[in-house]
Amino acid sequence: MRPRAATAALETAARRDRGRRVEILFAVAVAATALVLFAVAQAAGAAPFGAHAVATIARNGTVLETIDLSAVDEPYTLRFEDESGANVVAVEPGRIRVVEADCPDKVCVNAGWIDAPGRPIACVPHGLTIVVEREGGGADGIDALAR
Amino acid sequence: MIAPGRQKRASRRPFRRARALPLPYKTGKALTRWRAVAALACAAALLVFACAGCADGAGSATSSTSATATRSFTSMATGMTLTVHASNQQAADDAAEACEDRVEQLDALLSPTGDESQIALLNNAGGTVTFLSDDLQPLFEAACSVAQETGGAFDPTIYPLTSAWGFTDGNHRVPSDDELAALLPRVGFERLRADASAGTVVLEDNAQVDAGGVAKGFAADELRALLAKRDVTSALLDLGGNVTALGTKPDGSAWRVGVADPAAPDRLAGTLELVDATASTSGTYQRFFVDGNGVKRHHLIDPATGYPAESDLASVTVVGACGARCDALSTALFVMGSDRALDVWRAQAEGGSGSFEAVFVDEGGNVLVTGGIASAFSPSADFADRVTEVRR
Repeated sequence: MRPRAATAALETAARRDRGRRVEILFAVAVAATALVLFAVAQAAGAAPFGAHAVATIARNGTVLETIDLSAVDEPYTLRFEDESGANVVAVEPGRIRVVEADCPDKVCVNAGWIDAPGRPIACVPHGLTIVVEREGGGADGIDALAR
Repeated sequence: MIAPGRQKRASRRPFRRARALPLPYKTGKALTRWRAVAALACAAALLVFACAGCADGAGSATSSTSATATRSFTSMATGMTLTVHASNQQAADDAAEACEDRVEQLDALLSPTGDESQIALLNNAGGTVTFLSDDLQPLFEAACSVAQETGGAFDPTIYPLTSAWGFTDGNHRVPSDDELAALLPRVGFERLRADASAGTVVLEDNAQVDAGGVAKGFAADELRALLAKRDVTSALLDLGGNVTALGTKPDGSAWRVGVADPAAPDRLAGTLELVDATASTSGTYQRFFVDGNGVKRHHLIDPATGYPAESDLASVTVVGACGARCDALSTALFVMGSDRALDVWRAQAEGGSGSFEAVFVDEGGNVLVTGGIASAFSPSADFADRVTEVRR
């Protein structure tokens, strides 16, 4: 192989190589853009992953309070009282529970913290219920608990 | 989170391969062009997907399950939560409200006391023929059928016993042996004679009915029918832990229903994936009291002895199409213990009208899952190596 011809071949090769790189870069850029758009569309359409949680406190089916648990910064308590009795509800970032009640069985207090669907709290003697709805579900991913 | 990873892979691969491939130029160029075309095709496909995703989110008002109503209340001495998906918010709210109203009606009809109670009417009829509301007939049919099938391990006439233990009104006490011995002759499902065509029920030998063992399951059946009439095809009914799945979730996936670990009921023994099925659980942890001697007395009374059933099981979860049947069966299978319970399961042909499946958790924390539902059951981490599939 003659040196001159070899040099010319290398120069041509380099030019072609650059052209090829541009093509590849273009293809990659298009694919990447599509992926980003896809991800954005998915995120917009689907629920945010386990982020947003809302607690609903009701008495005899009538909603008393709706609390955006993801917007809670400082823990606080709420007191719900009527002629049947009183329940004290503790609210913390992302979770909620009954801490005190003057009902006889204390089932509501013993239920502990809840932070996702599937484990609603009920104080039967006072007709009080607390449910949490969380976009994307809770850690164990259940919709209800057979118990 | 997914997108950056994919980008990285997508940007690295073509370069590496282009450099590494020792191919002649013409072929190489053709290959990269082909790659560019392929990438464009992929991109187009992804964009179509992405737009489909958008349309799904934005245009869901036209789909049949775009609105959700969640309703929580207390009835039948327990907490209930209904999740109803419908074509619009009004339809979902109305359906959920209608469900709550129906449960309240049934509670009044089926509770042991109260002016409207059909059970009180029957129990106080002194053995005379009692006409009951037509809509309660399926409850008596399911109750009597399970009683027969399980040799009375579930018995709708158990009221004198549950009442003596205080489980009907919460005034718990331990009845004496003599007291229970005197009550036992009044208990027995053959003393209950239901005539579906006449709409009547007669109780003989001072028998009295406790609908507690089937009420929630029966209510679930009533709500399923009510929702079907309203064209609701996706709903989850949690009637005090008696869980009924109507159809699938709006995204087409199965409902995920946890099975409580009886030793720590706020934790899971596992998860069942359910579509159009009811899961009813009976367990010692549900209702019990501790007597003066520190003995735990649970509410699952054995109709044969009058005492809380001594079972090798800690909980039974029955899965099937009929809520009332599942509810009654879970009580019966618990009382019978695992061996006899499996006989009852085997007696029903797979896929037959009376067939059901079950998840048993025994006192040692071991799980038995019947064959028909084994693939729908995923044990939680603590139970992963403690599950046995039972074959027919």
